Amino acid sequence: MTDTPPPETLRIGTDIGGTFTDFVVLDADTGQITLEKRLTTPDDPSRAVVDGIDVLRAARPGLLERTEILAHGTTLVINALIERTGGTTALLTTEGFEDVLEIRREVRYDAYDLELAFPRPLVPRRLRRGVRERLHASGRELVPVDTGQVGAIVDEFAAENVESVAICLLHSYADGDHEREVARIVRERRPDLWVSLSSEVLPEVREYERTSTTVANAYVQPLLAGYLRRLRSALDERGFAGNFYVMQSTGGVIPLEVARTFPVRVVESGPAGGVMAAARIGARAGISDLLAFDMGGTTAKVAAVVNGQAALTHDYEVARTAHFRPGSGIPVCTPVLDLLEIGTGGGSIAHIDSLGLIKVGPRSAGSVPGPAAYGRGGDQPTVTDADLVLGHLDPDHFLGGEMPLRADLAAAAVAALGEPLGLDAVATAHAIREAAQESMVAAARVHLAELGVEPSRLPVVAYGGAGPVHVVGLARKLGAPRVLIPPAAGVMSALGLILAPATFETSQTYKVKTDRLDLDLMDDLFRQMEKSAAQFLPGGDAGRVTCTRWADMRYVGQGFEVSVGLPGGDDWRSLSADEVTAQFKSAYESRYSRSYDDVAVETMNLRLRATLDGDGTVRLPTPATTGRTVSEALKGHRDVHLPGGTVRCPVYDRALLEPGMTVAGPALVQERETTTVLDRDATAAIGDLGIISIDLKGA
Amino acid sequence: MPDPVRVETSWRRLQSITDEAATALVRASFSSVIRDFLDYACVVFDGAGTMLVHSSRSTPGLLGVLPFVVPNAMAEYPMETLRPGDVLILNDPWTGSGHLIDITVLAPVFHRDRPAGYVACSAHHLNVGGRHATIESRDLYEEGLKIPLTLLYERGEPTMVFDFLRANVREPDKVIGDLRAQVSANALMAERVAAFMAENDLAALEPLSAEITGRSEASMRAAITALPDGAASSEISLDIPGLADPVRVVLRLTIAGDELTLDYSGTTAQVPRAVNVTLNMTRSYSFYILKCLLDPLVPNNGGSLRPVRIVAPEGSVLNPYRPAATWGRTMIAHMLPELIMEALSGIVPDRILAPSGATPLAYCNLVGERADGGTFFTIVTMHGGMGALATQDGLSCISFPANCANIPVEIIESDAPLLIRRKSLLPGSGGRGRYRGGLGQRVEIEVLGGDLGPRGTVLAGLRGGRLGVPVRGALGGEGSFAARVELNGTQIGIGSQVTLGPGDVLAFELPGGGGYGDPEERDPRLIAADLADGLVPAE
Repeated sequence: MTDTPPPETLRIGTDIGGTFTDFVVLDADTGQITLEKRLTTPDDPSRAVVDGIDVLRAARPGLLERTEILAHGTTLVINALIERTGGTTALLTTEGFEDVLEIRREVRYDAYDLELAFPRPLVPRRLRRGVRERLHASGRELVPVDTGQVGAIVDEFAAENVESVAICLLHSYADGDHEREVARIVRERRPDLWVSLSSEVLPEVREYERTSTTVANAYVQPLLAGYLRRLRSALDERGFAGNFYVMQSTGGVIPLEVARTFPVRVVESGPAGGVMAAARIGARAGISDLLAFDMGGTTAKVAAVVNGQAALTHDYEVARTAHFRPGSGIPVCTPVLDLLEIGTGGGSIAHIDSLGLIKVGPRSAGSVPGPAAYGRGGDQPTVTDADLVLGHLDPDHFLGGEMPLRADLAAAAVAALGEPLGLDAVATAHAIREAAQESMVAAARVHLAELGVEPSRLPVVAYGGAGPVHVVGLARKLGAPRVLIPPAAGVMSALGLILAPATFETSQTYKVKTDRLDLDLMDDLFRQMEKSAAQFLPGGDAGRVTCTRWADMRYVGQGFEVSVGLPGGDDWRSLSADEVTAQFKSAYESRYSRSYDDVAVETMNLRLRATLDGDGTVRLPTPATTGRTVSEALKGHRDVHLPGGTVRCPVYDRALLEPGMTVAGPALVQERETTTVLDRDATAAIGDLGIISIDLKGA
Repeated sequence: MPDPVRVETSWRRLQSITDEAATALVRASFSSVIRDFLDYACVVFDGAGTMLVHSSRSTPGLLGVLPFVVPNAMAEYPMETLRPGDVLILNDPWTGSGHLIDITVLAPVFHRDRPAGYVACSAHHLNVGGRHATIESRDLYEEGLKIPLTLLYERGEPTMVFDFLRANVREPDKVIGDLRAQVSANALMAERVAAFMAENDLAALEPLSAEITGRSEASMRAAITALPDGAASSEISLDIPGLADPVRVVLRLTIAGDELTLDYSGTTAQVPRAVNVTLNMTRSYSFYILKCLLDPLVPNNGGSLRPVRIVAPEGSVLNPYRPAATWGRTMIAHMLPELIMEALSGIVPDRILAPSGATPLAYCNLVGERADGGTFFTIVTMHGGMGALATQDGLSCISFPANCANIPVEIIESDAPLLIRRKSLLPGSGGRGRYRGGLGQRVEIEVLGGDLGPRGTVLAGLRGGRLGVPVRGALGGEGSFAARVELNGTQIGIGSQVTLGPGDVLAFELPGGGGYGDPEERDPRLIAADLADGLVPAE
């Protein structure tokens, strides 16, 4: 013991969820971790963050002064889009195309449902104004911007209380000059307005998707910018001098200034944190390919991580009107972790469809009234009720016992559902559990197939309140080899914020057939991108920045590209055009199980991802080893209904399990926020990081 | 009693296989017809040729014919004669999907070394040679290359069909690229279905299929039983450009117990214009709307079809003899749902949709050479408004009863020497009613000049688009106008192709949907909202 405390380097992750705002403070040198939870304050979410920080500061003087990184995840953007609480927004577009947001793609999202509904456009028709100007698809100017007309339109915005302006002109992905010209006029006349340019937000062809994304950006910008400004100044007043990052939807954190300019990039901020944590913890356990599985109260989410990276999608939508049906929402096409959301959570309601089959979701009992077992007036059987009937959950230990469950009400609701089918409560509960898992598996299979990933080779990393309860059954159905349950599964998103690297992504169009590939030019383009990326990452000197190069490639004539990883640095010199083509064909073949030799191949975009990787030095929380035995972690036994019969299962306390221990199924491992269910053939081993690892292939 | 859980999980699994295949098809395709227009269907059949599941994104027209295509194929190529690696192809309108431009690719599912089922992928192609897209053709021979049911791959080896296609179609790289994407979508389905059977230790698909289709059939029968027994009639008269007399389509709908019959007796005889609808296609759109109205939630398969009988007299426009011309058959086929809903308007008034300005599909082809010498073959699709329902306003500018997307303006202009000058809602075009119809739109297409313009002229053809047939309202609602086409500001007919040069502007005004119910009963708040948005002109 010495009188001077050891110098600390702290990282704080804080994630705002629907109910709770979570905090994780990690001492990067010792791996010591501190958790805090506050109720979210929806009227001003920054209040819960600041209050929580104050609580942590009180317990640890000098906390903020020692914090090098504070990373923040927020649902503010997605909530504003769903609840329509963004700012009054206007759209300036090419004259004749003011209705793009309302005409959409002219296709119905469900072939048989005639009662279709789409979300209303975020900008009402009277604020969608056409500008006299025109570019050709090549970027050539056909009609110059009518500056006088733009000025006159902008002057009318005052009467409408416009706060934010989206500018989206045809073919601006090819040349952004016209949009910049329009933006200059807007800023000149009204420096107080927020301005979003489609050539900066999403420089990609297809006018509906680009307009929709740019409008969404403009719509949430006043709100997010104000919020971040308040939060930052409150932290500064309290002595914070480190770097403030916001989690973006692709799983890296970005500087506050970038988040403020491109709010749509943080739309899936929270879930991205969870996937990042799964990826990083997997990496520490030596696993680079995995399936992240998060099952909460209303939905389940799955995401594939391959080579340590989570796949991205550009086909994201928010505010889908029809139970997550693709095509029924507002397209936001900035890259988002390719996260599949399924309407199957603990609170999802089971019902019998018109064919006499038991189905689960997408209707949810939510938290009010909640599952029948909550005793808050819900009488519809949910997945949680079925789990309770089957003995998978302990009625007296839900949320560590803070919220006792009513087994009698759960059993009554479940039994009532099965009665017309001649099934008793237990048989019905099995059917609900099966249906829930099967709908998740079916959706996950399609999702993985789209990514070209074979589910049977991916270990599943489970978290969220219901994830560990269902993961063994789900993993068996997918044919997965192994299941991992990380520690702190209840605060995975906040933990992910700390573990995520600071990231900057950029791209550059380079469209050329591979027989005319200029590798020197490509290298130059990549080097320029690397240089600008390093400037963007605070404190980023060349030594700490890792750059990954990709080319989006396709057969000439196709409309979708396959991303091909390319070497950087010295390895570039040994690269040949033939090799690039061969790598494309092999990537194509792994996705579509065939490739062609008689069709030309072309590159479309060069992409660069730069990461400031301080994470290698961050230690993860590691449980102590005291020499305790497994039997000391045994809390008791209870009857569990497994397929094929009822078994009296041992129940273990996860907090008392130590690295090196094994637990043989059937068994239950309980912790505060969740329970891991081990079936007859599953055996769990506790790893160095406190991860529960369940081998399914060895059984 | 069959295990309901097992049935449900198997059903979902097969369903997900078709969705997976559809995604692969779109991503691997070479033309915007599949990629942006989204005209395709991916389907799994059991060993007896009964449709089991289809991709969620399937166009109703292509999907609706497949239950009849596979039995036709099995009659010619019996299951036991097929070997691994065999792939069948056809575009014959009678055995296939109604016009040459839809190509269907079929493959057997091999399980335990025997064919255990079929997978099929149908897709609309850019062209199949022949005359440029136009309803002027008088018989099938003018319309392009006909592919009878034949082998496309024999034990994994490509056959001469590829050579014939390459020699006969425009833009062969795109057509063959799309065809290959269909083949790989099928391969994916066949592989996944076989794996599913192996995992579940199924010797055959038929027992599972009987369970699934039995449930769907029972559900459809229950929906029909819930309707009062009786009969109703409706008819529509269509002016087809180039024909002296209008085409009359006559329907008598009969409900008896748990069965429903649609009888088109009395419909006009087939015509020497490319608008004839083969029986497969007549069945397809007739059944489609019944499924929407009566039993929309239960997945569609071979069982759902069984309680419905569809009769169309031989030699009529709804069941023509060979070699009738069929390219523009949607001009009549797309009207069938409207006709059926009119007949049902007295029976289930709360379920029907008022007529739609999007019916039939407006499909404009523009063909020529770019300045760089490359050919362009561009499709511009655009949709009027959907009719109102008993409970809500119609949607503006949306495909019905087809379900195809638009091809984005930026994609069209990247491919062809064209400039879309306007694509905007037409205020006031929605038929008035307690609920109003969705709005139609105005689209203006200009041929560019100079080095951005075409080499030579551009040939434009159009089919559909609600020409000469005003949109009616439903149950007291008002209608909308008939579509209009203008060339350089002057209204023209569209019976034949139009030759365009630099600076020419072709413009379309597509009507809105019909209103539902008495306009006087419209909620004043809805009226005020429409006025504020400029969706109806201020009085």
